[in-house]
Amino acid sequence: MHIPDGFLSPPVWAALDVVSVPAVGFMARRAQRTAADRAPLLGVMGAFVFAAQMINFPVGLGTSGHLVGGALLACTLGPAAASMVMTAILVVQALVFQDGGVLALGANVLNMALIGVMAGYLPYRYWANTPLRRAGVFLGGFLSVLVGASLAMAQLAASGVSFTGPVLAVSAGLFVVTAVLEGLITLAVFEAVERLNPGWVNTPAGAGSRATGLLAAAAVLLAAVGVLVASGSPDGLENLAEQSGIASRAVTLFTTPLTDYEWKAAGGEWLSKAGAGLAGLAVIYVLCSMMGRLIGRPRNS
Amino acid sequence: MAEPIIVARGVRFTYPDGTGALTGVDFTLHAGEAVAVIGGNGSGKTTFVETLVGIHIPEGELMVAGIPVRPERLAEVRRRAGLVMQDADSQLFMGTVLDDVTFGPLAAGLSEKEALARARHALEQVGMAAAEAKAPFHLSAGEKRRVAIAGVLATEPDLLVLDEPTTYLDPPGQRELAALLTALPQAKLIVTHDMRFARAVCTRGVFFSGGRIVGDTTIEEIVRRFGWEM
Amino acid sequence: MQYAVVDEWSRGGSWLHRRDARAKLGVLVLFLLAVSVSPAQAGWRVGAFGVFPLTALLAARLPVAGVLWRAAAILAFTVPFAVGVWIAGEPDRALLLLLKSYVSALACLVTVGVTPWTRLVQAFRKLGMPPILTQVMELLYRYLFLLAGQAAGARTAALCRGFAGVPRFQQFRVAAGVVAVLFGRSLERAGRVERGMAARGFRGEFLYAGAVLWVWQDTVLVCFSMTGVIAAWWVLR
Repeated sequence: MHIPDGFLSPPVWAALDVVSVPAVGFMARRAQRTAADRAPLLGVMGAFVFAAQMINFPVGLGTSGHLVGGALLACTLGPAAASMVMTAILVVQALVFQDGGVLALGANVLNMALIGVMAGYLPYRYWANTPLRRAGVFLGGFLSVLVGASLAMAQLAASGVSFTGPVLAVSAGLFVVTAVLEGLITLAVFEAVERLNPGWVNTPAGAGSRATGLLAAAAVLLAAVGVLVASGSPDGLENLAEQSGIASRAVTLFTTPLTDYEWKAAGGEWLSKAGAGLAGLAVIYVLCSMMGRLIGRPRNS
Repeated sequence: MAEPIIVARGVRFTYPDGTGALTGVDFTLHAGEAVAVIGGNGSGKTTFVETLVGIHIPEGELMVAGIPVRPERLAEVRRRAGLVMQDADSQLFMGTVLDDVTFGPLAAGLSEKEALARARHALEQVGMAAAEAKAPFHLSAGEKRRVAIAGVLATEPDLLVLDEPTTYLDPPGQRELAALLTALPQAKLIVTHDMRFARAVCTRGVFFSGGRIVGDTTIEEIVRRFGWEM
Repeated sequence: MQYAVVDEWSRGGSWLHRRDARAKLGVLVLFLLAVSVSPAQAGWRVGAFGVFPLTALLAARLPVAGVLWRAAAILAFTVPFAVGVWIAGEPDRALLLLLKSYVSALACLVTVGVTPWTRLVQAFRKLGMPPILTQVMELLYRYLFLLAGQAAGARTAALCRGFAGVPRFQQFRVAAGVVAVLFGRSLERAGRVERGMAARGFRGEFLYAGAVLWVWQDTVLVCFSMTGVIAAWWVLR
């Protein structure tokens, strides 16, 4: 889910850009260390993801899906390299294909290239050397899309788009279907790749642990669902006040980004909201880097 | 007589996965010579020419322009020997023709001005001066090959190594390439399956089998001895 | 291939094409910022911002209809959203959303249409982007067209060999196989590129000769655009 420019309110895209820059820098340093001199590999694999997206996977009812790729790259190249590749893909998509905005790049990178890739790697990281290996690959694909989409919803909600029950339910349903599809495609491609050459997949060191993996995956899943649900009720208090006028709420399926955060409200309110948002994002950033430290151990090659 | 461009004595190389690719190559190439490297698929031809630019570090004695192919001397070796890969798309990795041809001279530490002068001269030599602003993916197979050769010529090597240079070229393209190579003064080592091309460009041929050279004579003699024609 | 068109545009020789990519990126970001923070009460007048990319489009002698049409791709995403807002009883906001996203996409497309990708990447590097990321971006773009061609070839081959008649579950597996083969070929290609780069003396950083240097015309571009964009924002405020 690529957010275009014009959808996020200025404080939201600005804060996410501010968070993404050091996070990408951190992952770049890690990628440089673990995949030094591998720029050709990462660049060509980025082109591969673009090309792979041209191959349709039939899902019935006359529709088809395609690979998104974050989890597949994480399980084959390792998470730091996968983050770099996905970041580069998002920049090319935003600039050359108008797929996702330029100011919204921070949001899209955070959702899909950083947190999405990590969520996609997490189950595999712990289950790769256990009988749950296949489940780990599937769950990785599933989580990478679900987490990315949930975060995008949350960012839209934070920009003042209020999602009502039905809209949220339909969106959540679509996300889950897309996420299951990504899980299935990731697993099918991963297994086909491993059949061609077992050396092409990245197997993390260590025995792995079913329990840790389950715990981690459950935590990510819960967080994603929590974020999704929270998107339905941004600013709990405001929402409560709104509920008194149920009739008007029924009409307003959702409103545009600019309702809440307008520059005419350039007083203290706006600043405090931005400040709170930044503080929250700083916490996410710290968690992110800790996760990066935890997960992104150098791979053996 | 001047120092040979290539001296190989008992050169061996085994890939990390255990595949033995070179099992003792003995070979000498003198300045100005053009030698065809002939042999079946998987006989070690490509591995051998790749050792000449230090992509693989072999065992045994291997000297290129008097410099031993050792990890600490690779930069020097690569300034003296230029490899034109079979797959021109893998070799032309920069965004424009000019950026690609200047890559080698800049990597060798030349100034921007010198690098540009050399690149433009090399592009002129191969007849591609008009294409300097083009992207590699806008070129035809023959043009890509010419640019790949220019990229190597721009580093002014003593030795040109070409891996199956006629791949994807139509007969006029092959003829033009043969004329271009014959006109270049450098020593040349050309891996090829095309005996007509080998006859046009090379004076001598070596035949690879099982990772070593089993015949070192004229092209005619190789064709006769190994039955190497359709 | 459809996106090769943008690459073709970017290799023109107009005054705008010759400007430093950093100047163009700076102007783009400033423009997007002005559109993003333009007040809601400006309404449909936000469309006036479109004058800037349109002027650039004409000055750079790019095909006007082609660029306007390509930028319209963004509408596939924003129209459904705008329709929802319209139904919710806010037609003004719906229009605003469409205009803002379209004008932003147009500005971005014009910028890429007057700047070769490799110059953009060099500008990113000069602006402090990590080298590994700029190298990945450069190589990604370089091999995009090649691998997309291979994917199209694989798709055609599968169709020619009766892909449509295969049961659906099998189709899924066949598609996975095609992607896996593409993956393998890409890895092999990457290996060859790595060897090619090593053989030509690559030492961890791309080097360019004849890079565009910042000249007074770039300053003129930045100052002129900045004044225009800020003035427009002020009028619409």
